[in-house]
Amino acid sequence: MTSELSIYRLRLANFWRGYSRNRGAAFSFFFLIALISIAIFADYLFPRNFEAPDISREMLPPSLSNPLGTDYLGRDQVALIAFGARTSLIIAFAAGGLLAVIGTLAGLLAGYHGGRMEGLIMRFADIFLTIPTLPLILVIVSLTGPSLLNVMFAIGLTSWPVMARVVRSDTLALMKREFIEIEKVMGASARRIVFRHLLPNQLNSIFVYTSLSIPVVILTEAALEFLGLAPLSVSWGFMLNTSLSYWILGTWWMSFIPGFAIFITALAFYFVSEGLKEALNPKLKRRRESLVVQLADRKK
Amino acid sequence: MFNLQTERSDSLISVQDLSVRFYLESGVVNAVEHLSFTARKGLGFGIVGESGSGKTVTALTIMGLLAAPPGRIDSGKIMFNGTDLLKNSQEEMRRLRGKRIAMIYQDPMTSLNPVLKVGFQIGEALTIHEKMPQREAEKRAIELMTATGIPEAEKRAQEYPHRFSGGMRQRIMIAMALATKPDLLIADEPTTALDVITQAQILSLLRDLQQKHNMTVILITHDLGIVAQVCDEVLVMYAGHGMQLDTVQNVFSHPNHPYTRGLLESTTRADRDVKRLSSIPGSIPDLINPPTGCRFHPRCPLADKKCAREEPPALAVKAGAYSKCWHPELS
Amino acid sequence: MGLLAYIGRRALIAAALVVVVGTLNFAIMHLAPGGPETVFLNPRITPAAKALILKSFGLDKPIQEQYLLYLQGMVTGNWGLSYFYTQPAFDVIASRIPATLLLMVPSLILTVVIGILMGIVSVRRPYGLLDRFLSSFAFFFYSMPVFWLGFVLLTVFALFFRVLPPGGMVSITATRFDVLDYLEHLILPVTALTLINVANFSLLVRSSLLEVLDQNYILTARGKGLPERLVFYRHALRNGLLPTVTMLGLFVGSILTGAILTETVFSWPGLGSLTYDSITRRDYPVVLALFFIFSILTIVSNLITDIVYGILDPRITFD
Repeated sequence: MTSELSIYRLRLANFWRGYSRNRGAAFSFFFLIALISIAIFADYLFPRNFEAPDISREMLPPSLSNPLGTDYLGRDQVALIAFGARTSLIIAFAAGGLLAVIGTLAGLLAGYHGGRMEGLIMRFADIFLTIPTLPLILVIVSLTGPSLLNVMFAIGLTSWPVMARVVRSDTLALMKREFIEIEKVMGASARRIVFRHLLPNQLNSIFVYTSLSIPVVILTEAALEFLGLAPLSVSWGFMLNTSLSYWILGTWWMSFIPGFAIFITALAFYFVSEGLKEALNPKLKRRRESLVVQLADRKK
Repeated sequence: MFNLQTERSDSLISVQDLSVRFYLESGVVNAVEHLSFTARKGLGFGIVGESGSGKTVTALTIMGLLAAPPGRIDSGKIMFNGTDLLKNSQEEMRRLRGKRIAMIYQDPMTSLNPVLKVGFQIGEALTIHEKMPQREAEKRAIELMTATGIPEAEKRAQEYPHRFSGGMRQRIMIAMALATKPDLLIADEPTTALDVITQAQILSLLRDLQQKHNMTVILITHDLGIVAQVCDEVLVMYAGHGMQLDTVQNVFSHPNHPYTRGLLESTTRADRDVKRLSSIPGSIPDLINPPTGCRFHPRCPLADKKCAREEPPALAVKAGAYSKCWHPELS
Repeated sequence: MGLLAYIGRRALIAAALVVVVGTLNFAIMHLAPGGPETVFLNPRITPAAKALILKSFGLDKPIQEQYLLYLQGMVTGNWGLSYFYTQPAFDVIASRIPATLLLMVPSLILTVVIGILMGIVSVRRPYGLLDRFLSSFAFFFYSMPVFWLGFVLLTVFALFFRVLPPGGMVSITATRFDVLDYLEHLILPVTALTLINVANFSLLVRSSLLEVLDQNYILTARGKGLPERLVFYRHALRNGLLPTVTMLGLFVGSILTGAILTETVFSWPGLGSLTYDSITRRDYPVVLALFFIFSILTIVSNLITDIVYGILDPRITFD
């Protein structure tokens, strides 16, 4: 029992060593932990009635009492940002998870079966890759109503094709390996091959791809809210939406602050995924070395 | 180290004590060490060795195409027409390349630019090195294509590389290399990617052209059979070292080096009954941490303590030939 | 003949895509809670009028017929009636297209030109200072919401330093067609759109060029003693820029989507702000029609880039 635990801890330590070599990734990781914590414990950090309008404090620029200013209803923006983080993070993980699951399944099936099924799946995926996704999501959400579930499904159901593509090509590469041939010859069922061999070998990559898609999810969700389709009353994108009408009065912090929050959160996820990519993909050596081999040893 | 190859009057290119290393993050790769050989004018010179033996690095160094930052020429001279190529500037080398020294490569399928017409690519060197006008260069290209055995050259010169088969593309490469009538042609495994029949055709074409133009051809290969067909002298390389240098006849009839002997014994022969194909035990050494002393000693049946300790000198067997072994007599 | 057949094939696929989009629209319409009536009907009308309109739109017919009628309508330009404008959605959209194009075309051109230049410059010295600067540049703008950038630009240039107008396409005071006025209003939104996309486009150019530079035929070119300049511009660039033509199609989609958000920020009277307005007003016919036009624009531009690529790449034969 203890030896299993220590192996696990060793692998974790190794992983962290590789991952934290990218300082941006390490920093972003801690940033996200902090953000998630704030989002979870927001109820305790801020007064309960943060959403209540306070006419006397409408549209105040950043000051000591309101470090991020107040919005058009007089509410403190620090609290708004903290609670708004919930929306973004929930949708980021939910939609991200959804597109990961669908995309992986589609990619695995396409790569494993090949032939007509692959053609069908990939054609279907191609549709989503050629038509612009934001307008499609806009249509879906505006017609079905901007609830949390609808937004999550709309984003997840339109973003899986990118994932499917990469999983499929990874699956195809794996299919060429011998151990798959052996399994087939031994008469293993499709389910066994896919779930016990193809999938586990790709877990690292799938993890990386998923985290790479989260920034896009965050930006898409923010765009939706910005255009008025906000699932929750407190969300960063919606704060930007309201700031539209008031900008002309000079209340730049009402748009700058929430937008900045969206930006650095997306950026943090992006750094994290790059760090994951470097940590989990050991074969990605520095390009400089391979240039040498190319020029010097052409025939290999 | 040993300056055994003094320049002879009929030598075209003379590599002397060449050492090339790659300084990488993971370590220093000793690609070529203390290599010496001379290729004489108008003859076919073969360089034989397994992959990683340093043959291609040598060729690229002669051409001046080595990736300079990680790669470094640590010692040696390459005498060509009275100048040391290694002392040339980049610009001087560029002027020699494609004009006096030309090279053809292993994979014809990827060695031609897919978006440029074939006739244009063949004549390109002429427009640069001889300032030939475009139309004249294209005419020459058609002549060259015919000379290298491409039918309907005039029509085909207007086509793109993807319309040609592997063998045809290699002929195009040869035509391209010969455009400026170079003194030296380096062919780096020109037939490895081709089927046996095409291989024979290309080799015979190379031999013909070599004799017709009295051009020196350095043929790099891992196949001893090819060497026997096309070359007059051969250098056997292993782990970046020149192990044996002699005429093809001598090397095949009495190999003076255990490695050469091993290579010969692991190929099929038409002139005697081979019951079992032997193979040289072990595998090619790691060039970052090569074996001490003689590089071949871990795999050599004749190795002794001295072989592991000291690198053998290149013993001149006779004029223009050597064998780098402590026990050449025994083999 | 071959080229025509190629174009024809591609156009057919494009047409099929358009049908798919129309189908999607139809499906979404019917899946919406409240059904298609919410899309076609202004909720404030009387029941009698409602019944009449339902009949005229054929909503009382079986679903297969509705589907075909709908597709037919889409093709003939009958995209429904806007609640807000009480005009055909098609007309509303058509009147707004020029403004959006005015925004998109310069952005696209700038993205391509600057992107290619930046890509080339960074490839000259891979992993050098400029190259790494460019890569971080790209990260940055990839994660940046374009509407936020728009706000920042507006704040800096129209609020803090009042050098540029705070939105809109023309000044209210302009009486005649004033190019300078248009330009003044164009600068910020085009900058926002371009900045977001140019970094990524240049990265794509760069990676395509790097891949090409690793190819064997570049070694062959160098081996011929060609000057490095020629190797780069004649051999590498021609091959390296070919994939960027296809990539362009993707970027048109990105710029289109960005335009939706940018127009809203800058009150630019094009399709983008129409989208925002229609969503806010729940003018569903227009929302659906907008999705349709956006899709058509993307599909058509993909078609064009496909054809151009086919013409440029000699490996694509037409027979």
